[in-house]
Amino acid sequence: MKRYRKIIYGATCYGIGTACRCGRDTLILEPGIHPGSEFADTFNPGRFWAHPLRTMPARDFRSDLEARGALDGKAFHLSALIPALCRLILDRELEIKLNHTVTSVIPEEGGLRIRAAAPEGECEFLTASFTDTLSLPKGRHAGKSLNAMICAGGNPVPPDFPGFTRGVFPGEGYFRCPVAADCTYPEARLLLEKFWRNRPAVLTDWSIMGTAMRFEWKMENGAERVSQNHVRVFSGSYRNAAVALDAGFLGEAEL
Amino acid sequence: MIRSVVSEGKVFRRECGEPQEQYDVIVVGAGTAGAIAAIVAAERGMRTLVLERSSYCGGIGTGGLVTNYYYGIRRGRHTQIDDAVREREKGSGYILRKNCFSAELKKIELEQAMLEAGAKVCYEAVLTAVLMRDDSTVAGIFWHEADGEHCAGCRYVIDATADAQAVFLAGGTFHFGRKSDGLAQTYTLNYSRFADNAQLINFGDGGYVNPSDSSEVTDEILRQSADFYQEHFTQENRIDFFSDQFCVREGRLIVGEETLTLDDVIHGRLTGEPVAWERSNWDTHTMDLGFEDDTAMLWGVAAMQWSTVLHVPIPRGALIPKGLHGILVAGRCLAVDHNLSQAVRMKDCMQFTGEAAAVMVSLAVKRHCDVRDVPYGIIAEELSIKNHYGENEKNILNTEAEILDGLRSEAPGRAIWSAYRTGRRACLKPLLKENAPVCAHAAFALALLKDESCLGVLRELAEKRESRLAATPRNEGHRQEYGAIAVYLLGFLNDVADVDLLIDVLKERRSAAYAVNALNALMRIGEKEEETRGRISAALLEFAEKTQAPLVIRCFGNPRPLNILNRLRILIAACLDRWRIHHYIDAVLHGEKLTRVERNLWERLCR
Repeated sequence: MKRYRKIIYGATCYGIGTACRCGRDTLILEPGIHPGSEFADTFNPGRFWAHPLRTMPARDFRSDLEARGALDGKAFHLSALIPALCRLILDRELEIKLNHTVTSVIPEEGGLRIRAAAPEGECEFLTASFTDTLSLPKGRHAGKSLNAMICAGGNPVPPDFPGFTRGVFPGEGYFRCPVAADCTYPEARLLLEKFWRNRPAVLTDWSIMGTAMRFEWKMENGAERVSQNHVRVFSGSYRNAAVALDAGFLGEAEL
Repeated sequence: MIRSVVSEGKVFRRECGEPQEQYDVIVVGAGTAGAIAAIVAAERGMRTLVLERSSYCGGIGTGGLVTNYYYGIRRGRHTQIDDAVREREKGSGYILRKNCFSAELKKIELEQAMLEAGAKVCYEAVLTAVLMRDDSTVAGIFWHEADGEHCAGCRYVIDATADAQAVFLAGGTFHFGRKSDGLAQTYTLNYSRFADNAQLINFGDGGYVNPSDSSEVTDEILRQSADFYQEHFTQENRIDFFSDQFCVREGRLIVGEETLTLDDVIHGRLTGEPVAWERSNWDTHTMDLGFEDDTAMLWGVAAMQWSTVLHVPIPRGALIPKGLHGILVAGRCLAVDHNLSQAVRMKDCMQFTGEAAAVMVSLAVKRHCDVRDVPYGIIAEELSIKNHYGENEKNILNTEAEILDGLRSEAPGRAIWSAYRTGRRACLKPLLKENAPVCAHAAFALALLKDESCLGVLRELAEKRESRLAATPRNEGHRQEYGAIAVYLLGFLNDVADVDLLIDVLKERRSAAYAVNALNALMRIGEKEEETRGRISAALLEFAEKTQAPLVIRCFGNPRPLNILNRLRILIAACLDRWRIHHYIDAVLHGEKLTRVERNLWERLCR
């Protein structure tokens, strides 16, 4: 069984920032098939992109997105996030295993035993410290939504409508459909469908191209300490990908 | 009760308690096949639990963005779902694509049908272990959700995970990949674009990967996704979102109670107990076809039958894992061989296998018997199976005149295959004296019949590196030049006299097809004729140990070339090891930056 100094659950922006900070002997376990899913798969392009960043790597990350035309003032071309994070992971030679769902965290003498379900079956790892960037801290929810990627033909002026966020390119937008905290995916999909059939005139030129693969959760503070060496920090609670990366580089939740 | 898992390649079983919940059927995976299985099982009165690792139903057909149909036979419960999706699309404001279904609305339609039928659906539920009554009987499932692990018992599990993960955890056995290097077909990372006022889906193929090896998957996804980090993002190169599904064409294939092969299908050896029918061509996405086996090369390349549509009866035994009870599979992990898995994976058929599994299971539950003991006639009646026997034989030209006409045409494939299937050597031999391309077509047909009278023509085609391409019904990327086909067939016929010619072709590296075919021809001749090994191994060593420019293939829809040189080097090393010939290929590879797939191949073949 392989032992790591640090295991991070989630190839999220916070998780990748943390892995960059911790350097060698760090493993990222990601249940999905790509990094950045807390933003990319929730169709949450983020907000407050001008928010000051405290670390140089996060500033470089944001500047690079700007230089490549994926970030334009307030607007973010969200689909650039996955390739950008993959590039960062490869450049920094971070150790990562996709398709690994952590199923239990078992305290042991000298650390934690992390058990995961993977295509190969059950795997176990030992670590001195575990940071979970995917699990929602209990009782801190401030909002939940099922978002949609929406598009429009021609070059329509983005409407100033609650829930609408424009992307970088003409006809690129995101729509946030708020739902109750206990709303299930089937209920949320029906709600969104019903709203969209009867959407206001300002949105009639826009079509839903895709519905988010996961709910977006909002919360003021996504961090909690489970034990001395086990921290939860929900990366999706940060304002945008660069802020989450910045927090990971700083190790904000572990402080 | 027993909890069964696999860890580090071994099955571990330990005693556990009885489950709290009990169902008739647990469907694991609500993708293409599983969603239909769950709907049909619940509609047939089964207490049904559905476990899905993502947050929606439909898998590759919805979240994977494969929203069109490719061939198939349009019948079954899923066609009603599709009709309902069409209705739902009207006035929805969801983007629609021509000849496609709305992925988002199909997610809704599938889950609503499941819920209305009374199924319990658990999303974000990851399979962790299998509950067993004894060493061979599956009795339930363990799964993980955000609040921890759960367990439920059932009469039957329908494993619709695509890679037969539940069968795997229960200790079932599998086939994987092709014989030469163990690789399966290429995968894709699909993404959606908005361009010209419409949604476009890109299905660009990636490389080869074992979907059950998360290290290979991780490396491939990171490498391929990073390529999309554009120097400058523009409206023209804009991608709107990536699918969250890893789109796999081939993974684990179960060893079933009955296994069907491409060789069976193209030679008319068909099952008498079909529970579903596939209708598709041999839709390989392999671009280094020389690594495929003789059945594939003879059918797809030498007889140019890649685009011929086959009707494939799926035997009920192909859904039943050999030696296990209480579990069936549905979807692309059926008991077919690697060759046939390239045809038996289309959405219509995969959805129908879900329906077939649900019907088989519900009959077994109601009759309190093993699914093997349900009379086939009842299954066929419940599924309203319509048979298509004889369809494949319609492709065969039965008269000599038709065959000769075909061989004299620009599109000789059907005639080549027909001459082989009807064994008409006598009428072929005179054609060897005719002008090109007729003599080449006759030579290809005679080669299939293993008649060495064709060697002279084949030799000439190989020497000339004849660049002619035959016409086929779909002139896509699988055609090979006549010269390259001849090189392959010289190896197929074990032509010792042309070893030097084949060595020249290998050295020349005219294209990947020529190099791969020559390499395979030389290795198979050397395997059989020991006295040729000296010359052949010297050529192989020169090829493998010399620094060379990349040898590239291009996968469908992907501009990024895939270098196969190191893979050839590894195959050569394995061959030389078998022949006990010393080499330094490992040192050469040590200086190369191998991919994870190549490293694993080296471990598998050369350690």
